[in-house]
Amino acid sequence: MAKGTIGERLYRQLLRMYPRDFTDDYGDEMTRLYRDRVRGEGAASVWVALVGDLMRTAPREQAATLVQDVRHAWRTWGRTPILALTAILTLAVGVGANTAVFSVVHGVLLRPLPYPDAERLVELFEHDRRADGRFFRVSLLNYLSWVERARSFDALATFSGRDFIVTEHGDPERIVGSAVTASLFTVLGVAPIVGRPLSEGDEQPGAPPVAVLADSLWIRGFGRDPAVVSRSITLNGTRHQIIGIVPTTFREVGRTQIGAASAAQIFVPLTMNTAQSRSNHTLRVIGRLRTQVSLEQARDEMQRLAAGMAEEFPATNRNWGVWIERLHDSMFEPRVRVSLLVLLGAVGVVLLIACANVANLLLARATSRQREFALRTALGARPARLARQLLTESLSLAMVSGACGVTVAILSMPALRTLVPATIPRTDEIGLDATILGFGLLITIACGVFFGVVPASRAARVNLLPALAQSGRGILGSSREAWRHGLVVAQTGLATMLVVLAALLLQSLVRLQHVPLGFEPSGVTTARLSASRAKYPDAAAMLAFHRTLLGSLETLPSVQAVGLMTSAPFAPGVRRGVALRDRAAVAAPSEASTGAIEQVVSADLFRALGMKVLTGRPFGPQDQQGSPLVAIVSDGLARRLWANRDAIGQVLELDGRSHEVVGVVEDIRGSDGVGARGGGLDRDPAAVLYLSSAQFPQNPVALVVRTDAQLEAILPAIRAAVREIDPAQPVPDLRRLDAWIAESAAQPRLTTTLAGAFAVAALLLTAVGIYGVISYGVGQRTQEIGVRMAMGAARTSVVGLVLREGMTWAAGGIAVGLFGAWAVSRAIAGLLFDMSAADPLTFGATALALAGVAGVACTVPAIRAIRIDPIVALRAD
Amino acid sequence: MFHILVAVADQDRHGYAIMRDVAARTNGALKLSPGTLYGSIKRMLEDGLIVELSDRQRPDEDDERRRYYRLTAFGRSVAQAEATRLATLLRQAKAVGLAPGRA
Repeated sequence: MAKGTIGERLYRQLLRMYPRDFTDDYGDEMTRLYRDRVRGEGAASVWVALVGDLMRTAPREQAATLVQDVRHAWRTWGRTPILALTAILTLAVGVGANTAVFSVVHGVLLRPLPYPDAERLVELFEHDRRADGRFFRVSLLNYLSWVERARSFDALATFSGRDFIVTEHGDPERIVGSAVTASLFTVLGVAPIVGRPLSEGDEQPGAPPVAVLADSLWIRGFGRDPAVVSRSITLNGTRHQIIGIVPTTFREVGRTQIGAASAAQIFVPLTMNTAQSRSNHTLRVIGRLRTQVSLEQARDEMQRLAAGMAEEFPATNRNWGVWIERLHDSMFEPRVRVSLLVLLGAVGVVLLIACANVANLLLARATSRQREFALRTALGARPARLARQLLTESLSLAMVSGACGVTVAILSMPALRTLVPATIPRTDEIGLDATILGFGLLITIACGVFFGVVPASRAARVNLLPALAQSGRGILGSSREAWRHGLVVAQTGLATMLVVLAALLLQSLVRLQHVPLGFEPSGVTTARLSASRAKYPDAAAMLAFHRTLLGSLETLPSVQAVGLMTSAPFAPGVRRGVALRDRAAVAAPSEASTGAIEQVVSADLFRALGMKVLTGRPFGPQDQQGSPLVAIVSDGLARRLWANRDAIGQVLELDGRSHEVVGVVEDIRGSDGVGARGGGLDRDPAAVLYLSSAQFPQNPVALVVRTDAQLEAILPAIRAAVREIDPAQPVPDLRRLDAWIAESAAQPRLTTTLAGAFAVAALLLTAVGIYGVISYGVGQRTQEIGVRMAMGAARTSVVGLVLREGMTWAAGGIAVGLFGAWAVSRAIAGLLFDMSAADPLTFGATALALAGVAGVACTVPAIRAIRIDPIVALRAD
Repeated sequence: MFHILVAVADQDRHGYAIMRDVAARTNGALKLSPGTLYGSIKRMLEDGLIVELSDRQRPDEDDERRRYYRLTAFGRSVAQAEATRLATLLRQAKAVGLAPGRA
């Protein structure tokens, strides 16, 4: 046949769009057809019709072949239903778990914040250079100076948490809210869904009281009333006009404390009380960077600004700097981010191990189908066709597993939202979207290809003559064995890494939960009290209320001590930072103000919390309104200010007042709570300055009640006591202190539990995998073993043979795994509390555990091996 | 597909011949493209409506080996059933004046 014209050659090339089988059968015909038509009608008209024909029929033929392949694949799986079901189940669990974890990581961490241009949003902190890198909230006067002077921002906004007592229906209810500047709406770029945002007019003194509500409150309290803007709500005794409703996304920003369990639902204008001190650090500040300004440039500018303000206001600002972080980063503690990513990695490893198991299954299956493939090749099937069919089989299996797994993951999303600790923000953004489906599809296909490729490539290169002639014994034993052993090594290695990870996390968690707190939490109950300012307008009224309340509670049976403080450790509340200085040090210019958390406490508070007074005395009846101002410092603060000298008798200056230090108390944990460096069990105790509540009555306050250890009945008694004195006052957050402490460890606890579950799953899968491979090997070598035993080999030597093979590969895997674990442990070192990541004991114990598991997995086939009857083995074929 | 059955009903044909026959009988209205043609042929082979003849029918006409297709008995009965169905429809259409000619 002549070579043909260019057109013909081109047509032949285009025919490759059809399935290979089709062109094998009809390619020549179609080329001839083309030639005839060109002869008859001329090339141009033929080509015009041809292009349309190709576009229409080529995909149709490909689809038909695909359908045929898939049908054939399922018929083949139908012959080994148990194997198929096992594989599907294993994979479905793996894909489902991965999709579920990914949906959490994606919704919470990876997705950008739901505000326009969210990468431009930043949060600003004040930074006391002497306080070991701790970040503090911002003082109002500093914020106003920034607004005036900073050039890097489109807008700045500030807000601070408020507790609101709402008495719309029946019992007074405490709702967490936020006092915000009107610029918050500009910074976030969020428009209200109903009504209007706060405006600067609302911030003016004397403006009518207004409030913006979150839509969750609109639904719950007002039934989604479209005319809500005409209604009002009573907050702390004052009627506020509702002017707008904001979407749920607004709430996250309004969280007054990173990791707080409740997000703000009511927003009122922030009253600018400029009469306060510049060292009163209570506000969170966020801003929107100008489009041309980078984060680095903004940081530089603010540092310079801060330096300038330190010169201008030395009493309060010397040695204070400014730090800026992206809002997306500051919303999360770094360890939350690492934990989520670690979990994603861990669950991915479990999937890999599961895939290795399925790959082993399929390899064994491909081996047993060698005759089938040899026969088909002899009958004219091309190797590529066989390979494609095998790949179709594995992909069909994978797709079904994937679909099941992803479906289960989607159905479990509501459960996921509640399981994730409330301390992690954005949990209501966990939901189904295209990315998650795409992820599920991607890992499904990847799995299908992974365990399909090896059997497919093996089948394609089957060696005809030996395969047809010989028995069912494995022919290409050596190279297939290499793959299987490789998979065992990989599985064991991966399982080792996971077990090390889980063991490290577990030890860290145990240490975390036993960390010395500095106070005695058992038997302590706390609550927050937020009295209405209308009812208690001045300090005297507040003092009287507190005195009455303390007195009433002290008389309750089984109450050992009652105290008040600004916020109880680990419980939600305001943590106010102050700048103070040692008066004696004013003379030395290098000494500057330092930051501490301010806690205003009642006389009995230290006893109620079980805190030791190290030197000096606690507050007492001699500290009253009008008596000399006193203060008590925490041990850390005393050492920072006076090193080894006696703190008693020293004088501290803050807010323009002088306080004499009368006592030093133990450091306690749980007092921190600012920005992304929030307090927790793993945080070192913060420096705390204690003032007397008799001299500075506080509102809101935290009530601390110590009773006999496990008395549940005390909670209603406390509530009753408060109601008796002031029926309009709710008692929110009434809870055992132990519960708050446990909640602060909720996220590490969840991470550790999940990591442990994944490690156990990995161990089980690996054990099954090792068993499968060794067992298969024994099956292959039945004859050899039979010969050995017939020749008089001891049973122990046969067992030793099997075990040695299995354990060698496992040992290789463990070694690789330990190395990998060491690398990974350095990455998670930030998550570990009070321990080194390269803990030899952990690594050693893990190696032993894995060796043990591998040993057990090898023992069963070994026992089978010695049960082989030599005669049967030799005769068998 | 019916057209192809008709084309091989009276004599065995190869691909191009079927194409030309169909085009001629429909006066150029239906031009089977190669993809459609061979796709249909493949399916009809699978369903047993036609068979492929491996030996040359007319050695004098071509010097190349073409594939000839012949109607099977099954294919014939299928074609006849379809023809009957169409005739019935046509008769009904004629009865109500939708088609030219009287029933």
